[in-house]
Amino acid sequence: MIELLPLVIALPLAGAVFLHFFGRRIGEPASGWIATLAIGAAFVVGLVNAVPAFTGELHHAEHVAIWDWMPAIGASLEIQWDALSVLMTLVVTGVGTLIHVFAIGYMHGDPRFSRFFTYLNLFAASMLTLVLAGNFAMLFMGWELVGLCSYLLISFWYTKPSAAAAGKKAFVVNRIGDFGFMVALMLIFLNFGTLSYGGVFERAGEVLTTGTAVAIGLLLLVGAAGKSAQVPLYVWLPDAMEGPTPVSALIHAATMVTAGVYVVSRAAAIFELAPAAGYAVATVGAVTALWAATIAIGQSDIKKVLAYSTVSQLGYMFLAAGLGGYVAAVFHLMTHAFFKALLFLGSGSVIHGMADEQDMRKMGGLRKHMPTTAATMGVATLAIAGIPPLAGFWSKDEILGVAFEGGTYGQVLWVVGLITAMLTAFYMTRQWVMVFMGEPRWDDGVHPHESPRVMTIPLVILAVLSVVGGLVNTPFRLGLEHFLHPAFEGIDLAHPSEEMSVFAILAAVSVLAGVAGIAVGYLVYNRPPARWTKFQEGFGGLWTAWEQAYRVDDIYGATIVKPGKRLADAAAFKFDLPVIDGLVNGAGWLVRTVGSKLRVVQTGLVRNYGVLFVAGVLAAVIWMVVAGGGV
Amino acid sequence: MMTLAQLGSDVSWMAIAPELVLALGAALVLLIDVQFKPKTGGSLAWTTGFVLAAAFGFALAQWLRLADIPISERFPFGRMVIVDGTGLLARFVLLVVTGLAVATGWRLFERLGRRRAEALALILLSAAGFQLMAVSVHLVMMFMGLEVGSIALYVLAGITRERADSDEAAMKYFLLGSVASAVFIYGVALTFAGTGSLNILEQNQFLTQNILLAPGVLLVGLALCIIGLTFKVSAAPFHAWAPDVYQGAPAGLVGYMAAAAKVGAFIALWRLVDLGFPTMRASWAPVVAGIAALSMVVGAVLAAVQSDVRRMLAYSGVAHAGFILTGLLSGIDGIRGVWFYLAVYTLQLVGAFGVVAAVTGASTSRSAISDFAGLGRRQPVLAVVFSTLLLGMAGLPLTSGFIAKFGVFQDAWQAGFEWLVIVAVLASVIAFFFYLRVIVTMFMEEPSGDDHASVGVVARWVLALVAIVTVVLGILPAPLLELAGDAVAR
Amino acid sequence: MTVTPGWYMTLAAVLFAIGLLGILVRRNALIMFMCVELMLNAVNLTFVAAGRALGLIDGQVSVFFVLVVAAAEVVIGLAIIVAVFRQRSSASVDELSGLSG
Repeated sequence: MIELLPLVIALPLAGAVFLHFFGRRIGEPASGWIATLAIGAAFVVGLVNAVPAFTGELHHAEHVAIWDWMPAIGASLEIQWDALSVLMTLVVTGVGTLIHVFAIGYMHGDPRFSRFFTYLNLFAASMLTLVLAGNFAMLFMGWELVGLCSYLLISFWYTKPSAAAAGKKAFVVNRIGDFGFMVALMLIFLNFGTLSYGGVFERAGEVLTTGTAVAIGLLLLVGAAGKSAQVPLYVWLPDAMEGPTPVSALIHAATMVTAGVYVVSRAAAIFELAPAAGYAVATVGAVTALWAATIAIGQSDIKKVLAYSTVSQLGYMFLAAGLGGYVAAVFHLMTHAFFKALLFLGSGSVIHGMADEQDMRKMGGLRKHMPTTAATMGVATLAIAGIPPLAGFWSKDEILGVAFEGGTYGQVLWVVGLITAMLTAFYMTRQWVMVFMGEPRWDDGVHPHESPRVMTIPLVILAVLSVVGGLVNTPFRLGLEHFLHPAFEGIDLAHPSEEMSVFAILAAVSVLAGVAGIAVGYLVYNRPPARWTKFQEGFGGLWTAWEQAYRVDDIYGATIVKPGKRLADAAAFKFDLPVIDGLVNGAGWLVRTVGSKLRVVQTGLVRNYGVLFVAGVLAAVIWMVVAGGGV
Repeated sequence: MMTLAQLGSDVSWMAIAPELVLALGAALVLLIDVQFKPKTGGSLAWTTGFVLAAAFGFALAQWLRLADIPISERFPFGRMVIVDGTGLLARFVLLVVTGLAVATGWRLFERLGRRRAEALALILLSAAGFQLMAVSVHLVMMFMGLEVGSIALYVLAGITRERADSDEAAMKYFLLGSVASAVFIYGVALTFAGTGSLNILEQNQFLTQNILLAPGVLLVGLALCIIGLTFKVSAAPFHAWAPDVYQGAPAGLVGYMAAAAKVGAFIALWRLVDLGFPTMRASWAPVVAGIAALSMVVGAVLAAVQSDVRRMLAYSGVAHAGFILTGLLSGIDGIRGVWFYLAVYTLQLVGAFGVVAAVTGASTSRSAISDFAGLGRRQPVLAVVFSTLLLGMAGLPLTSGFIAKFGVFQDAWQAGFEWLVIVAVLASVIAFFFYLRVIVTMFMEEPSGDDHASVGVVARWVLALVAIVTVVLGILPAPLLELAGDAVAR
Repeated sequence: MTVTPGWYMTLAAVLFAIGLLGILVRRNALIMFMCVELMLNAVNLTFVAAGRALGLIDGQVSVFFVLVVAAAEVVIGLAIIVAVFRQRSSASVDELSGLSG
């Protein structure tokens, strides 16, 4: 059955191609169902092929060659099928299918309905190319393609200036990350002479010196930080919420943004040689987790909360991966895909029901009108807050456990993680309470209603997954760990302590933190808005800072854009232009100047050409004779 | 491995069949012209095409049974000629390039009237000459091939003799070319004096078996040989003739003139330095590297300031010569990259000059960039083809040029010429901008003046095919790379 | 005092250099062309001297080839020079500078 694996990529791709040509004619909702069918079928193919991995028969990575592009440098279209790619494939296609179904309801009535599903399918194909790649060249191809789809979808409503600007910003910020990624690939190629995973990872120990490994690791981190929205390159992700909500759920929560975590896990063999790079990853992750969590607290836009929450949770994954806890990172990647996709879809359902209102201050009391959405989002909130036995509890605890075992520095990070956990529980509860509890604060003329079945059924399925998804890897039964083990063969994985007492104490502490967060959130926000303000004022300027996301966009604008420009609306992406333009123009001027000077030599006179020729002859002969020791 | 003396010295017509066919074909073209005095060129075109196809067929036949040819039969004619994959590939490229050049430049042949038979015969003869050059392992033989090819080109440069520019080009090409030929043959004489042989393989044998106490004469000889050949490929500082000749010669012929000489001379250069003088690598490698670096820089910088497309292409050719020399430095393994580069670049070159001939007239000299303004609207197919070819020359990813550049850079890097690769990358960046400038002119600027652009049906299809091949080889280079790899192995 | 082949080769080198210098300093295409012939004959002398010294016939045989090439060049060269002369009534190569830059 493994020969069928290329279908996993080919099916969504075929869907995209088909919809591109015939989508408009087929119209709504058929084109949506075709797209769903394509990715659903990909999921089935993946699932069938995943059976050996579940039964433990997939000891070594299987390879399926699609096309030998440039075998000499290990660049080909070749699928690597091991536990890690199995898991990623199932998450991408599984969650992707649910989101496709949801989007059929959500995009109802959009004039570019079929175009949306074209992009969505194209994205799925690209993301699967990324996770199924058997070498860095194909990985990079997928990496760029998902980026492209991301920009297309962020600015899907391109007539909105903010959407177009957000797409552009994502593009530019990602270029910075991609640059690091590209240099990393170049270094890998120069050192190994190949780009295939097998050729690189198996020989990493012999080939790489620590210095080179650190350099590659740090450059990969730059690339991963761009794609996975880590400090300091996270600024594009909150803006990316301009895209339709299913896009936020699929690309900017469940799949594409986890590509950075995936790459770091994939390159575990390199990071193992470079502990310094690993610590850098962990530090970036921890800083991002805390930083974004604080910003999330101050947001009042329902999607912005989730956006910063995503950045923060991705930071968690980086923290774990950097400390060698790849299983914990991938585990959290998976559970996060469930509950964060659910949260985004739920928020989409709310926005849909509230006639495109995104401001939580204008919501409230929605649980009576949208019971399914309220219940499922409630589950997801508890899951992300780390309440046992929901999915988030197990994965978050494993990350904290890994950190706690990671020496003094790890324990510092553990404290950061714990604070983040508390903040997460707080802002998520705040969100849920603001939206679903209390008195209605809607604008006139808004008639909230529950979304149609096509939207709520995916919510329910995701809610079930958010409840039970964590049970695959509990300290009592390390299912996922065994499952992933073949993919990390020879890697010294970091584990939480195996002693039950340590686990129990750590779990108790983190649950306590979560409960505290939930309690504060509930107590404060389940009251009239005047009391919120009072609570918020208690933080003084800090709250304003959070509300304004520390004004990072402005700081980037002020520090990077030429002084004298209007700082307030100068966004970070404008920075490139003057600098690069200057360099290019300067180089162009230099070339032209030198060229015009050299042109004079070309007089058109044969005797001058003769002189040049003879001078060349003399120089070459003398050089050669001297170099050859002929005198 | 047998010793060289044991190897066969018999006559093998098959080994030089493609050249014989071309020479006979040239005679046939002239005879047909004399006998039937055709008014149009149709019969001559068919004859030329047939001759080229036949020559290609002979080369192909030899290629297919190459593995069965024992080593004792690989060096016919007293070890003057070598039967190997590289030589056969050089023939493939040269024959394809010749065919393309005739097809795309057909307007010129039509306009030449009764002189078209001479022109076609000269093209066939010069192709035969450059092919011989590429298959010879004997330096005098190599010289003969070089001269047969070059002398025909001198005439071709001035074939439209009523035009002053054409005359000037022919004269410059002839004077400088014959000086370079004299330098080359003097180098041959000195290496003969130094090693006691004119055969490249025997020279290598001599050098591996003897330690030279005073290699001075030999080194001078080798240097002069290298200079003679680098002149033909228009590498700096021996490039001064190229822009003037490319500009002055009739547009329909320049592509062939540039491409054919490069194929012959580069393969010959590779044979000389890597088959004949690998032992003296320490002496020639720095000089060749210096020539390569100078070519890339001078070519790229001067191409950037040209306002005539043909001069721009000539200078970019100087830069390309530098890139190919970069690949040559990586020793015997480098030939794969060199060959691939040669194949794709000469193809692009012929195609590009085909477009130039179509846009500015096949018999004219001078092709100002402004003549290309608005071509995207006037002749969209030509504009797209030209853009593709220029981007291919620039080495944009997804074109064959990228694979070619990547290959030679990688080889050179592994051979320890990191600095040269850095220079090469910088030169490529500069080059990218001047290619882009032409493309921008074609698509962004308003047409100025009259529209002369016209292209025949055959030429249009051939040009489109070349552009498609450029892209396909950029995405799917493996078959051609394997072919090149095979050639080295055989 | 015996005249060794080395002497001949030195003479040939001098002739070659004179030819090369002639190319640089003369303006008349015909004279320049004669300088090329001089260079080729210097090559011939080298071949003969080397062949003689090495006891190999190859050197002398090569001379025939060089002579043939020189003859072919003469034919073409004179034709081109005549063509240029018809156009411009001058055989000075300095007239030929329409193409430059």
